[in-house]
Amino acid sequence: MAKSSSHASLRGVVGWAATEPRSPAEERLETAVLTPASPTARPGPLSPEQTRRFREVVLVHADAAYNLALRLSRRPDVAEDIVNDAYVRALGAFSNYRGGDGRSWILTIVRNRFYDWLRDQRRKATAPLSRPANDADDDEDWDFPDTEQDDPEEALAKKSQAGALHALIDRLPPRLREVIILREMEEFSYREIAVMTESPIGSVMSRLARAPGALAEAWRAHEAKLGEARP
Amino acid sequence: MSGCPDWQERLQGLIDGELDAAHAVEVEAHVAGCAACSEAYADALKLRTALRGEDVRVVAPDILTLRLEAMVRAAEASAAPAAPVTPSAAVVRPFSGGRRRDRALWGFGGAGVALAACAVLAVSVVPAMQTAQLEQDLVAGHVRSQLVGHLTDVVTSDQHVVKPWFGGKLDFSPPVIDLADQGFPLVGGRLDYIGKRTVAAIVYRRGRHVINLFVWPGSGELGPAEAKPGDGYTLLHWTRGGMTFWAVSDVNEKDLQAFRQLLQARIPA
Repeated sequence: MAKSSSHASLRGVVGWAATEPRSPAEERLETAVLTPASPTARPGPLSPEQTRRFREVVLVHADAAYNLALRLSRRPDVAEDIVNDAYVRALGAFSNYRGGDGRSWILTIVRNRFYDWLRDQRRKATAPLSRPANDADDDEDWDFPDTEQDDPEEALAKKSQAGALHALIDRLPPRLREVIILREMEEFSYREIAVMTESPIGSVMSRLARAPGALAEAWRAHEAKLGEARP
Repeated sequence: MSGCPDWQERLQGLIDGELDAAHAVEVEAHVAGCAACSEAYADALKLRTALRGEDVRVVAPDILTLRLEAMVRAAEASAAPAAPVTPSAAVVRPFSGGRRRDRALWGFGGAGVALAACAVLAVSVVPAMQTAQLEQDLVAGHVRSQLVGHLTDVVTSDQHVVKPWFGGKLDFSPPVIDLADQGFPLVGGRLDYIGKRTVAAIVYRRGRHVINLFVWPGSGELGPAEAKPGDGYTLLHWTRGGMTFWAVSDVNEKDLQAFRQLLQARIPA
């Protein structure tokens, strides 16, 4: 199905109605997703049927939402706030729900809320900014300093496999963190990720080629270290 | 980066099942002949296995789940005494998951009933093994899907629609891969109940024949892939990527084996 030729054009991947782009950019997909059917339709109180549907379609993805928020923000307290805020918005907009994949929708909102938070951090930042050396995307790769982060040796020495992987992912810039999570943990297709991250599919592909590559090498080093402990 | 820079994206595309057959073959050929890329490929697969391991994907803390649930309940409560719905709010909006074609298309009529009876009989004489009951369930599921005109709940050849459709209904995410370019077009998906659990049934077509691919998590105690032809029905099972697959169809065994191999090539181990 997903041929290289289809990478060129994005069609209705997740079943949301598209609309013309608006600014600010981060609102685009959320509103596109929920374009009211008529000008008078607006977010409002939900009927029991709608809340039932909201539970089925959106609330069930709370774990996925938190997982994304935590890996992006790297701070449990911030992740909780981001998810909470995302669900407030989703609930408010749900009366305009017209079908589609609830998981990609809530994850898109989570992602956008994270970048809002990140922008705030940057504005407030007094600490030296951390910038990756391979900073091709300029500001897009800006990341706040990860105070919780151990040095690389310590990160890899983590006892649990999950802990070590988290540490490795957390060292990547946010644009790579998000594609890793959306692709490897949520298993979205390239096209879906392109829509969710509002990136050309080519950028998604190049990020996906970069991110796992960097991770895979680190992971192999980690496994080699634990070689004796594993069959 | 250990692989060839020029092949990096295509290599990742192969791993992600995002290449068409022609490109996949091309990349596989390169990987086979390039030590660096073959190593990068192995690393990537190892990383994938690790990333999909236990506890890597964290779950929401209970306190957050409770907060969200309370939020939904509050929204419902506030709506309870609401005024009569406005005309605009009353508009029934099309739900994209509800696109359906005429299901009668898939009804096979009387001949199907007779065939079905044969099939069930054929399966019931399979030597009593631990999988006999399961196989019976599977054939019954396959037959039922065609008899009651309930082949699919979501009818679309778009794998990106079928997969999310399963998303909210199952506690696992079955791989949904269209093989139209290989002569096995995806028809849609539905839920089925096999071996005391809800499973994904992904429906393909081969010419006029229907292939039901049943998928659920777990590798079970089943042996390697094997075909069990029986009176017009062929069952084939295998495991991959932590999932159990059963293909059931009345296509010949060779075709079903080809179908399995095509799927295998696109499903990460």
